[in-house]
Amino acid sequence: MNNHEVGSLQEKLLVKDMMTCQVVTVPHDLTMEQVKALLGDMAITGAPVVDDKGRICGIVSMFDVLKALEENLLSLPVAGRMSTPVIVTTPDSTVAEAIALFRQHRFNRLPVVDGERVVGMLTPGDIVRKLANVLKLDLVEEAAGPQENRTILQWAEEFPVAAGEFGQAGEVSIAIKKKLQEAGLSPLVIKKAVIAAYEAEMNMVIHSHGGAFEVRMTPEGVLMTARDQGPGIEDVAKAMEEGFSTAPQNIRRMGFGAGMGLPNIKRSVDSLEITSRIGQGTEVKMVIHFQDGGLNENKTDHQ
Amino acid sequence: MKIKQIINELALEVIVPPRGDYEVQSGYTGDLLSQVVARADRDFIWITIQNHLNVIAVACLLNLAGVILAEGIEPIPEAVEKAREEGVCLLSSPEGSFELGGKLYQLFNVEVESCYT
Ligand SMILES: Nc1ncnc2c1ncn2[C@@H]1O[C@H](COP(=O)(O)OP(=O)(O)OP(=O)(O)O)[C@@H](O)[C@H]1O
Ligand SMILES: [Mg+2]
Repeated sequence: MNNHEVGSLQEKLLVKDMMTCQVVTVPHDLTMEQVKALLGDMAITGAPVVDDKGRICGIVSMFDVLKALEENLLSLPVAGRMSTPVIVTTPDSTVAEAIALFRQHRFNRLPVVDGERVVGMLTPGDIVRKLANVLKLDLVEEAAGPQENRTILQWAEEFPVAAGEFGQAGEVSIAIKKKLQEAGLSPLVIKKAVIAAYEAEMNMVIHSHGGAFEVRMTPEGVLMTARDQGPGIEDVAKAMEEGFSTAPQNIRRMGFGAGMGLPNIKRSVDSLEITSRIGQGTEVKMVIHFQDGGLNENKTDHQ
Repeated sequence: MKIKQIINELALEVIVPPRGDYEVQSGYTGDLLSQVVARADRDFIWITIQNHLNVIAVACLLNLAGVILAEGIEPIPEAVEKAREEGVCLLSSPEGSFELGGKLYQLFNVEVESCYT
C-alpha cells in the first residue's frame, strides 16, 4: 500500500465508520466536583458538555478539572470552566478532514455532531486502529500517559536488491522513505534512515552479487538489515575508512566510489554492525532509536 | 530565497518545474554522490554534472529543493520521468558548476545583506 492509496482511503473512510458511538456527555449545570467524579467513574479523560436540550455547548477535560482543583474552584459549574467554542466534526465528514482538524488544533478528541446533538466521539487512536484494521497491520500501543494517543504501527518488509541494476538503484530507499513517511516518523528520523538505506542499497548494487533489504518498525526504532550473497568484504575496518573504495573506473565516472558510503551510514545510525564472510556475503545491520517517540511534528514536504 | 527567483536570476531551463514556490535554504555543488549525501540537506539546491537516475534518487531522498545540471547537460529521459514521478525539480544551464555556484552564492549573500540594511 503506498502513500497515494492511504491518502485515498482517508478520503473514502468516513467519520461515522470509526467514531465511538457511546458518548458520555456532561450536563452543563454539573459542578466541576461532579465532573471529576463522572470522568473518574467512566474512566475517560474528557467529554462534551450539553445544555438542557441536549445541544453541545462546550467540552471539558481532566485538564480543566485539575486546573479547577488547583484554584480551589471545584464547586463552580462546568459551564464556566469548559472550553468553548467546541471544534466538532460530522458523521459524514471524511477521515482526511478530521485528521486536518486534529493537526490544526492539536487536541485529542473531536465530538461528532448531527445538527447540534452529539452522536459520537473521535480520537486519533480511533483512526489509527481503524486504518490498521483496514490495512491488516499489527498495532502496538505505546504506554499510556501524556502520549496516550500516539501510536506506532509495527511492520516489517523485505525488498530484493539486484546487483548492477543501476536503472533501479535508489528505488528501494525511495520506497522505504515513503513507508517511513506514512508511519508518521519525524523528518530527522526519516533523514537518517534514508541516508543509511541509500548507501547500503547502493553498496549492494555496486559491490555485491545482490541480496535483500529488510526494514522493521518497532515502537523503539527502525531496524534495517542489508544482506547480500557475496563476495564479502575482506577488511571491514578498512572499508569503514573515509575515502576507501574498490569501485571500478566506470562506476566512479557515475559519481560513486568516494569511499563515503559506509562512513555516511555510521554517522546516521545509532548502531551499525557489519558481518562479512569472504565468498559468502555481507550483512549490514543498522538501528535508529526513537527519541521522543520518533513521530512527526507536522512538517510537510514539497515532494 | 525562493526557487522561482533562482530560476529567473540564473536563467535556468526548467525541465521539471518545482511544486510551488518554496524557500531554498542553501546550495551544494558536487559530483560524488556519497559526498552530496553527506553534505547537502533538506531544501538545498544541488549543482552537478552527473546525469543518471541516482541523481534523482538522491535529490528525492534528501528532500532537496532541486537539481541544476550544469554544462548544458541534457538529462536522460528516464531521469526526467523519474524526477516528474517523485516531484523533484530538475533544471539545467549551459554554464559550468563554477559559474552557477558563484552566481548562486552571490544571490544568497545579497539576500542576507538586505536583511541587515
Ligand atoms: N555489500 C558489500 N559487498 C562487498 N563489498 C562491499 C560492500 N559494501 C561495501 N563494500 C566495500 O567497502 C568499500 C567502501 O564502501 P563505501 O560505501 O564506504 O564506499 P564506496 O561504495 O566504494 O563509495 P561511495 O559509497 O562513496 O560511492 C567498497 O568500495 C567495497 O570495497
Ligand atoms: Mg558505497
